Amino acid sequence: MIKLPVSANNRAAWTIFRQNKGAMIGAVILIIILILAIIGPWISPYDPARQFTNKILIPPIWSPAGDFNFFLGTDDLGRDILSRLLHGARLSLQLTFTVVLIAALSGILIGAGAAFLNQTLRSLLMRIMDLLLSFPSLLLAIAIVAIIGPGLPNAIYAVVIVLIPQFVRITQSSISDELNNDYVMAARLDGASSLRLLSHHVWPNITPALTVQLTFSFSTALLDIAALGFLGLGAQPPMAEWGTMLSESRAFIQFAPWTMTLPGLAIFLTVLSINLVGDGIRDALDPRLNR
Amino acid sequence: MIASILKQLGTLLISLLGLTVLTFILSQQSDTPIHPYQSDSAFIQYFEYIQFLINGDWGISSIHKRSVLKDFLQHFPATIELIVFAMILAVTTGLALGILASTRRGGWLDNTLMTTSLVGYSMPIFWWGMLLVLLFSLTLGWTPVAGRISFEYDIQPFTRFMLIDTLLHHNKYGFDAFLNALHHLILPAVTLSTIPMAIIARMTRSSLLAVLKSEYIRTARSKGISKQRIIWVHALRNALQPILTISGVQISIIMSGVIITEYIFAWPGIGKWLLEAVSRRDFASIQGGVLALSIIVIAFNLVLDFLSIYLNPRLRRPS
Repeated sequence: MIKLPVSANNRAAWTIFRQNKGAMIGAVILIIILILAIIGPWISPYDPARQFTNKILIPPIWSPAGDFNFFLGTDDLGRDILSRLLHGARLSLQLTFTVVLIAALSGILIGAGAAFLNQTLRSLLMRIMDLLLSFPSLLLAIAIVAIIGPGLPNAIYAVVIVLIPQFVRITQSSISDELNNDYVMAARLDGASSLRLLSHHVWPNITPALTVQLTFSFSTALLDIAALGFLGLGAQPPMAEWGTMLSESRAFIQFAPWTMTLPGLAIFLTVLSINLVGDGIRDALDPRLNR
Repeated sequence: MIASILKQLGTLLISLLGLTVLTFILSQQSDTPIHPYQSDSAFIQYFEYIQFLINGDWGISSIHKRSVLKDFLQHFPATIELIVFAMILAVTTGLALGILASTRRGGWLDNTLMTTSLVGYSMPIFWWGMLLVLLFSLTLGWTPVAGRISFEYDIQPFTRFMLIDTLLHHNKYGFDAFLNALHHLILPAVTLSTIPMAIIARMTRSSLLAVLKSEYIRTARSKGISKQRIIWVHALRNALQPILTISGVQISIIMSGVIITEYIFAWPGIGKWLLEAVSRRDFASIQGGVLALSIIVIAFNLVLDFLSIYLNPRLRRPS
């Protein structure tokens, strides 16, 4: 296989990515959501916790009973849903970024270390990672939350622990694959140290695989954090977290469906756009996998 | 073959060790010890804990004051019923959609199916379940909102599988009770099956397309074998291999999904039982529930590994 210089590879990848309609749509939606999350606190009409006690369960403005002061309506406590969604976007994305960042850093470090361990230790470590991977992620998160107690910080730790093995696995296996290549052997014969091999020769070639993994873990993390919030094990009311908002809306599905559809739509659109972008990146970086 | 079986058994041992250490830590969180330990040292207590587990003493629930193992076994059939029904739905529909899409590659059907499956893949199951309830139960009134059967039926739990138990009450209610139970089962099963169905459809399509490109299919085609026969007899068999391999991932997704589905539909199974135990900090039940569910996942993966060793001659040969 011919290895192109990384920059040429990146340019080629961008060309393929740009031609992928789904990925571009996903990227646009994702960028809009990101912008909304960043400027959310400034453009949101009200404080997300403010309760308008005489404006309870007002439907969104496209319904005849809507109120122009509350664009997406209000919830059962008279809180403005638009404001809560905007603040929730920031909270959910911040949490997701934090979780993925910590999980990726620790996972890649462990995986890179494992690639240079001796055979027995490495296979023991990888067996443990396989075990964690075969575990239903939500069950593992619930078990961890059960030990350290419900609440947002603990839910975050749980999701981090659930995500780490994926990074360890992919880092270790792609480093091991690369180390078997002739060009690495050539560099090693030239006297390159392990660290130099890793940073100068192996690392540029495993970044595509890691980038794909990174993208998909964003959607996993977002979903798991929201699921824990929904089950009452993560963020607690009155926090404007999307999963928690969904959970609070359960009692009003029939009378106020918008309190349920809107936060869910926010989660769904974010996850969908991340997955679209992820699919696009995967196809662009690894044309061999192209369907 | 013996080498790979030994490797599997090694993995199994590590899995069970890791799992029991986790549940042992869980059981230690309880205010009152869930087992009467002889020793004060946590290390020796762990071995005593294993001894209790093997003897079938999984502790007493602090809320219900009942044996955890018994509680688990009582709730388990409801979960199994839901999972099996959802799995049948996911596999049959997913395979059919995947095959259909691959035969009409690039057509509107293929594009629609693939877009739908991408949407299904990104769907938060907790929102999907509530949307289905909103549409089919609350707006259209087609299906019940929650539960396993209507209150008017008095069903004795013989097997605790509602579909079987209602059939056993055939002389009392005719088929009414059975149909009522089935009616309750549909929406939760659809909720649970959506994500696996989307994954199976995508996998089937891509794996079938890959196989259809291979030389032996070209040979078959040049011999004048019909397109239907090529797909069903020649291609599908080989295309199913990677689908079998990802079934292990499927069981994880289903297990996570079933907890949420049971929570939404008030389905009296393991998921709901476990969540209740977590929120009421009943550590004996949490420990037992996590242990039992994990053993099931591990066993399932083990069977799957043996099955793929058995089915794939390349894995059978010693490396």
